Amino acid sequence: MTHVATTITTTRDYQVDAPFLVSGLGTAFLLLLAVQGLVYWAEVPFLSAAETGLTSSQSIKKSDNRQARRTEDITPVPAPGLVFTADKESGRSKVEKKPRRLIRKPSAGSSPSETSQPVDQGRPSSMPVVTDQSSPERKDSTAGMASSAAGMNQVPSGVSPGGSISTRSTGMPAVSAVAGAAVSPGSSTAASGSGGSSSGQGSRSARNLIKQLPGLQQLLTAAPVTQGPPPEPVAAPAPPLGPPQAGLPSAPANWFAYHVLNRLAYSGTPNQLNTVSHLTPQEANAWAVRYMKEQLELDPNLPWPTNLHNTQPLPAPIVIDDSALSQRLAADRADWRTEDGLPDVLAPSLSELQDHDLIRKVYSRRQLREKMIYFWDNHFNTNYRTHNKGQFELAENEAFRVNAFGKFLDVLMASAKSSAMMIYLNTDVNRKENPNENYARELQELHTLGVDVNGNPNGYIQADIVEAAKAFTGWTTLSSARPGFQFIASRHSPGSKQFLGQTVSSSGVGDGEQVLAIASRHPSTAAYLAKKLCVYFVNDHPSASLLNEVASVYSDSGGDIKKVLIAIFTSQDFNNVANYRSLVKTPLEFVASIHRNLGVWSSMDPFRNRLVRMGQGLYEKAPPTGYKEAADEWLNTDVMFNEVSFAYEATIPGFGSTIRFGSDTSGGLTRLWLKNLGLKTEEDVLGFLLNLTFDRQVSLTEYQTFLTTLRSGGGTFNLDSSNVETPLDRMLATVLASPRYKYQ
Amino acid sequence: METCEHCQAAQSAVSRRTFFKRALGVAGATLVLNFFPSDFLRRTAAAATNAGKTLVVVFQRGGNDGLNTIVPYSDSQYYAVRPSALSGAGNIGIPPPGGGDGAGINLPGTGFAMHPAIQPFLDLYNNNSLAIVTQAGFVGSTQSHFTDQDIIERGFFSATDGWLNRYLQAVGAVGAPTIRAAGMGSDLADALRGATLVPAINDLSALSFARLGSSKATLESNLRALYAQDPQSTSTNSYSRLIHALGPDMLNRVASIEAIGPAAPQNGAQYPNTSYGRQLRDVAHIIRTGLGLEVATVDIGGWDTHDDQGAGGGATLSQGARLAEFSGGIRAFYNDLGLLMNNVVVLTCTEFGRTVRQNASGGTDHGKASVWFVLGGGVKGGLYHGAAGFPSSLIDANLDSGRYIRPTVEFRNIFSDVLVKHFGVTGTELTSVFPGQVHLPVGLFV
Repeated sequence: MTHVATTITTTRDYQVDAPFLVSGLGTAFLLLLAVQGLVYWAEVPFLSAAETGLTSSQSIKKSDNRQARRTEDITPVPAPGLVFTADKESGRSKVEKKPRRLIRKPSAGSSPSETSQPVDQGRPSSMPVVTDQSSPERKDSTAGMASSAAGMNQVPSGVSPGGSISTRSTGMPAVSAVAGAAVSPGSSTAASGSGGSSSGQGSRSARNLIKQLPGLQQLLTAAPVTQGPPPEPVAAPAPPLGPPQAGLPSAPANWFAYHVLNRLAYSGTPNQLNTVSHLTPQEANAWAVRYMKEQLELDPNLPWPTNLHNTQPLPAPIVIDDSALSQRLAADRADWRTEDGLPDVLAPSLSELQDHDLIRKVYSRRQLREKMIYFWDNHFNTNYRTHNKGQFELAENEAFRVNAFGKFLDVLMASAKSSAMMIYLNTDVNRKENPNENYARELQELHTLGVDVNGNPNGYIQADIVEAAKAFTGWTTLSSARPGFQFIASRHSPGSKQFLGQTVSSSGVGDGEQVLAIASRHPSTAAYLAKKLCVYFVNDHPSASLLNEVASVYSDSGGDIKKVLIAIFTSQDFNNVANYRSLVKTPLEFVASIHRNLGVWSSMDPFRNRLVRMGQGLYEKAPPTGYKEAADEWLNTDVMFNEVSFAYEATIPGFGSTIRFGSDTSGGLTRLWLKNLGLKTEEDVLGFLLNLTFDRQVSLTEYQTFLTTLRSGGGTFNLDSSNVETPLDRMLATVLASPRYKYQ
Repeated sequence: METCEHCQAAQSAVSRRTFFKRALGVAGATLVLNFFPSDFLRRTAAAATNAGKTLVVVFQRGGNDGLNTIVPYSDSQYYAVRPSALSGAGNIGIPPPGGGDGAGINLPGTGFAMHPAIQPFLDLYNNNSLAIVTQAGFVGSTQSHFTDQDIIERGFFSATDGWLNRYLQAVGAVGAPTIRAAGMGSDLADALRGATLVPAINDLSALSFARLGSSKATLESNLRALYAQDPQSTSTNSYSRLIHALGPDMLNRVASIEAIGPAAPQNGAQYPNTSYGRQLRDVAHIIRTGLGLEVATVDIGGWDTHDDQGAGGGATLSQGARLAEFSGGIRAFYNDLGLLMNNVVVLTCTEFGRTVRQNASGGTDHGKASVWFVLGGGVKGGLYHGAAGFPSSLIDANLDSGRYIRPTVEFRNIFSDVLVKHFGVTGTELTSVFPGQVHLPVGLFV
């Protein structure tokens, strides 16, 4: 196998360069069906451009071509300013979300490998907030085109943030193909004939369709092609798999590559897993180490950093290009309403927030960063329903995105000053007359020091809560619905405070900041975070030696999260095969793994709905603990019912299924997907599918059950025969509903 | 002491289900019980056995403010630390009975009033089927939601299994119940976790694989084959044993629930349209359909009222709204089950009460003791202040740390009262549920 990933240097600048990715493989062809709002989109064959990683034997070829400057995901703006830019007229944006119809997502042709690229440094030190900016004008313009092509009358209009106007009257809106137009909040203008209130089902579907289709937009608008990352080499399907020996199946020889995908990512994609399946153990180790370094934004060609136990900085991060995700996210935001009276502030609903986050989790190439963002957002849990302002959760999540690999104190500070947290734990109403203890308590119990094995405070007492509560008096949100922080001196409790044995000399807003700094440096905080991160990445009962090492790296490095992660991933425990598949997937990890393993394309609705039913809805956990990570929290009848149901939704036609997977030319039919890959025999099929789901580790009983199910169509197994359609669906349903698929 | 002679006679003569049908036959199938089903409730101790009995444990998560649930309005100090809501915005004092908008509901002769939002409980109190423990809790509260919930649900922090799970282990089922215990919701309450596998059940109407159509039989058979494998021979994952047990358990539960269909409340019961309300509705359905439900847990959150706690009437904010849902749900459950309530006890818990003095943001912070309720068959209604009594005045000197209501009734004694008097647990069995604990009866039952 030869894998060469050529990458384009990404420049971190603060302009929108309107990236466009063109699938470089195959000829894009369009199939637009607009039947009662049901829109299908078919693009290039799924696997022809799926994500892949690099084999050990190749090095990343870094292009020096900086002409093709492309948008970075992260655009710093000083807090507390917001963040997301409304890119459409407010009327249309307020249309209530309806359940989405089946939308076929574009193939992974636009989702290149999770490889890394150098990027300019120079992020301002002020707390940056992130925007995912793309080119809404093109998207919306194209919506008109596509709808027209589909013979629909109602066409949404689009507005370019740069001030260009599109109209819906002709269905052929002016195309603003100005790549590089800066997003100008507030400059949006609309010309909509729809009255701004009700886009019909047809146009909604069309919009949904267009949202997914950068390639289509390209074709229809003839917009200038901006070079994206070139297509990844495509790995051959995993080799055939014959019946295993009876008894306990051993870990695959190349287990470590699978292990790393299971832990640092929301599991592997088909092309990654196909790639891994062909590697020798040595190649797999090298592949895995390279993947870990790339995900940690380290140079994969250099050895692991050794300066973990001091405060020397790590090398500048080599940020992974994620522009395809940025486009997807920008398209997803197109329906969001803006906050009343704040036309530049997008205010997503809870379900919109949840979908947006799920899109990141399944499509982002920065998989480890997404896993850490979930970790921080969950560690510093807030509940949308306490404020009902999507922008608050969004701004907070973006702060975690920026600081995910940074210093813990920065993450803590971002959380403490986020509108979502201040409202959730009552900092916003904390006054000197009789301070509110809510945040002060959870800060110590849940965010920093934690409790000991007996449930008792780990180094703080009630007096520390009372004093910390005083320190945070006067901290509050902005008076508008814009996310941000302000300090109101007249509410602040004057005088020095005694906190954790130290004196906080009164300096107004600085009191609370000193409290956070003291808490972040406490040895209990090091131990508490070490435990939580090791449970997240290694196993439910991490060894004392691992915990000690990780906690000491935390303390010695001044709370450097990336150093802590390096310590975990290079530890003996993480690298021990005993910890391979030793964790149990949380519901989030379960639904995300189905999406990533099978190359799903569908709306996020079924994913979000099941997650909520399983009790892990994002942004809506009520208690400040956040969701538990340990397996036994999630091992119960109801979660299992919903996970099995979700497996069936993904595979069995008629089981309320809106999920499709496989290739874009198979119409969602498992049989055609496999046939198009050139698979022929039962062993071909099992080798391929069990690689995507089981890392090829299977017991004899499992293998025989799958084989029996495959053969239930009667006759000889033949992918040309539609008789194998139902047996294949049932076989795959059984795989996804099996005990083994719950392990990670 | 109210008793119902003919009820008792009927109870002794026929099974409770048969009796229920007869009773309905007399009164009409869609009887709306304006008079209380509790008028029929036993007022003497039932046979102490778990046969046909159910205990429903409702947990108010977040720490309900007991002082504003059962209000000591006759103590002027109460209004010193919590000025009447009528005196200004942000004040949370419940005005005394007859004191205007949002006034408390008098509990005559006690000096206490109910928060107006728990009006659905008033009839139960008046007919002596509602026991109110005003200062339930435990010495050594950490005032952490999570540690204190763990202590209450496990009985002791160091225990690994929940107290209800230990009960299920210690006392055998009578007969072969289809669903002996259930935790309602997507998360299994800690009280029910442990060595005995207890299902979490959420939304009866959704628990079905019927839509699989012709694939249903094949998939069920496949799953049973995979989950029946010896877990040790398929994976080294340390949860494999539990996972392999859950698979068939889930398939069996779903089959049982497909068989009883969705809930159909009786007697005009109106449940709150919330997950809490639906959970209580589903519990009533499982009881009525005779699946042998013995223990169930239901959760209601939203009690952590650090700010905007509000009071009653026009000043109702978070706590009042939650109390209305809380009491309305239990009252609907009570109405729904009608005479079946003779064999059902509802016990409500919360991890702690709140600071006696309100804070500057119109709320209260974490405290210690709070109000717990017990109602149903065999319960002896009234206020229970514990041997130490309720403070004559809420002055700092009478409080724990000068800030909190001091616990006077130990929660393990409340649990033990229920186990002994409702389920007929023996001394030996009780010891295995609460090892090393001496049961000091609270006297909550007749």
